[in-house]
Amino acid sequence: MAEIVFEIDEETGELTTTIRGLPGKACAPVGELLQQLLGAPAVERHTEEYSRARGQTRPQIRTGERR
Amino acid sequence: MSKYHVFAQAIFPSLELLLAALTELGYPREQVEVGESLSLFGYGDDRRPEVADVVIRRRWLHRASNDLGFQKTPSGYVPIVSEWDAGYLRRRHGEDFVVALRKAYNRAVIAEARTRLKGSLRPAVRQGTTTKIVLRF
Repeated sequence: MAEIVFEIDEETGELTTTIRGLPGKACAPVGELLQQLLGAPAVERHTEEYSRARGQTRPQIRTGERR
Repeated sequence: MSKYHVFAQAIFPSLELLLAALTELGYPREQVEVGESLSLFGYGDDRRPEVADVVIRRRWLHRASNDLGFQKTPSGYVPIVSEWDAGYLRRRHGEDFVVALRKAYNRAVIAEARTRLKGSLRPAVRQGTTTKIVLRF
């Protein structure tokens, strides 16, 4: 099962989103939905899960971090 | 005359979700005008040089308020709030208005994502100053 983790900073209202359970490019449609609703992210990073699916050995973190 | 400030760092891409967020904060749809380059008026009924595309008229705020607006930009809607109303709205909402609106907008985003992905939400968990909400789909 896939999930989106939303983290809202209660002091600033900033939102960070992380997409899990959709390795590689499978998360792209969800990322597009978030971008449609939230606008372009201030920062975007790939999760380790994304990198594994693409055969990379160096871990990266988070997809769709928004500030 | 209270100066207007444009909060360009707070962008709300979806009009529908912005209206939902404003409703949550106590400004229902019937109190919000949507149009193009609508004039903003000050507390003395004076037309101000600033314009906006979404407006809450001052009659819905405080007798000393100026109109509150949102200007449409290519990225979305940005708030335009007078200096006096920034203070008034902070008192009314118990925190900075733009912060309160961002949080309400985020909640509207989560509800919309839940609907579109036909998902379910786990109970919100507060960790320090962060509220964590998980949407499973």
